[in-house]
Amino acid sequence: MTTAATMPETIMIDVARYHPEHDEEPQYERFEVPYRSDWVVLDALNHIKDQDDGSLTYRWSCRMGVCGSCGMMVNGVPVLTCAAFLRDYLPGPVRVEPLAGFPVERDLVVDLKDFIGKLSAVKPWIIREEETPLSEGEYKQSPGQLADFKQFSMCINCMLCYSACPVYQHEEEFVGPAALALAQRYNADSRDEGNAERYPLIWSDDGIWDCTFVGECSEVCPKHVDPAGAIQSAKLESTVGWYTSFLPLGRKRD
Amino acid sequence: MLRELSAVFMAVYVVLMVIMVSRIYEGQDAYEDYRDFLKSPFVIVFHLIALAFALLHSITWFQAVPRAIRIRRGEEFVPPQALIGTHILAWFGISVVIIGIFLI
Repeated sequence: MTTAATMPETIMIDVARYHPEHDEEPQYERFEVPYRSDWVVLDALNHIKDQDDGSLTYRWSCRMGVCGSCGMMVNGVPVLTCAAFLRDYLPGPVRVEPLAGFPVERDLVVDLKDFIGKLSAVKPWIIREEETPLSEGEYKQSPGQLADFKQFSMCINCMLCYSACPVYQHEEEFVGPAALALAQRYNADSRDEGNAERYPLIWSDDGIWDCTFVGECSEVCPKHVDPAGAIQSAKLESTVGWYTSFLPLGRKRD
Repeated sequence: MLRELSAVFMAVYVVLMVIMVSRIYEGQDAYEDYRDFLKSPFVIVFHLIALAFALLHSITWFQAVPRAIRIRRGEEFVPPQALIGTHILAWFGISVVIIGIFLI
């Protein structure tokens, strides 16, 4: 516990800098920022951009753990920088780097293309075999049916789980935790009838079966989505589906 | 991390078992020699460590069950402890049956 008497006045922040037009590889630049017990890492970055170097590039928006845009590696761990208090990194220095496993565009900004492509590949929307006309009202759902997928619907696409996943770091083709959890979210939705359309991708070798259940994705998830749990549920469904496919009336579970 | 490491010990244990099967196939002398090897302190210590890792692997495996199996009754999910307990009981029961078969 740091008391007021021992509280430092400043803290050192080592920021990864990378400018693709004239840098071969990322370099670290050290900044000294004022220490405030209620400041988060994002506050320190905003201070640096405001006072020291206006060219520092990073993404942020809501500053309250909802938008999912300020994810970065802080001391090697993927976190939302708006929720990472400087007081938890005393005495410093604090190392801030772009999310691991993604190509860096500049400084702390990563290229989202791969993630966005995977997200849309799992068809994260309600698929109906036949759309009911609007005049017949909404698709009804009980609180219990909502509970089946609600946890998986809390994802804010911050990509921390991808940076924490050792499989994704080694195999770029892996669909990854957030996208697979989102697929499970729609597969478990009673209003959805699109399971069979999602299975070819999520049941493939690049899908759930690439996951070795290390579980780091669920550890770092700021919204407690438990992508690792979602993937294991999907593995169970996939296994049951594989066995039932040998039965005369196989794979009629949707 | 320890859970991932446990796989190494399980793999070595399986190799020792496969060698034993091949020694049995080769005849009684080969089997007796292999049994003497298994009685050496180093191999016994290895088996104790492998047993500890097997228990760790099994228990953490059952602890992970509620994350894969979500059973909903009405609006509530079956509590994780109930799922873990049922699986551990089943594991214990099946183990007793298997040990029983070998002892009879």
